Amino acid sequence: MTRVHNRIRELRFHAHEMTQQQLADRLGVTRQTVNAIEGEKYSPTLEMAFQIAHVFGVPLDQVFTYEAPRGGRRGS
Amino acid sequence: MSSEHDVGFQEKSLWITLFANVLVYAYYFWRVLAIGRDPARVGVLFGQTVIALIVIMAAGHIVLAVRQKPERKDERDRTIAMRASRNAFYVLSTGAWAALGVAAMSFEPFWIAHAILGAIVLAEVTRTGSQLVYYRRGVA
Repeated sequence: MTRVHNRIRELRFHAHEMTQQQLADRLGVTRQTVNAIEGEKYSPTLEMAFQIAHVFGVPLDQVFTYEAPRGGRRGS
Repeated sequence: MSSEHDVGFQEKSLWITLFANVLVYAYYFWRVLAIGRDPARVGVLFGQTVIALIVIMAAGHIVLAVRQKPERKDERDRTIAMRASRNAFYVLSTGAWAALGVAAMSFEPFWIAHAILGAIVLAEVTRTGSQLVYYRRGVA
């Protein structure tokens, strides 16, 4: 669905098995939205991506990775 | 739990809205063709339709709110709503042009009004239906 992949489930597990609801409460969103992000059915805004990284205390690129399309141009 | 589809309050609210609109307006268009073009009878039918729509929507949302705690819309809900509104705009503008076509062909006001009403109803069904599809399939 999206080319943005994430490690949220793994990070939740390492954060004392934080539930989706607990993460949702920290972010101020619904549990369904956390579920959609985790299941890669929704790409969060940049601000929310930073909020998620902040909750787990890790840099953004340890939460999210981007899979570039094959044959796509790379930035100069 | 993380990857299976998880139906939230907003999505259930949309199902109620879609169900109410399809049910009530299907009945309206079926009846209005049967009763003809008497403005008084059409006016009464339209009034009954609006009341039925309000009652079904209110009853549905009361039952939903009792069974599930209402949730505030978040950024995903707003993104989905915006994309669905865009889809509805295309339907509404196409319907507006169709209504102009009906007017240009010198049809009676009854047909022009119902072409506009049909476009509004189709746009609303597109808006709610699109949101339900985006909730289920996801938005990148």
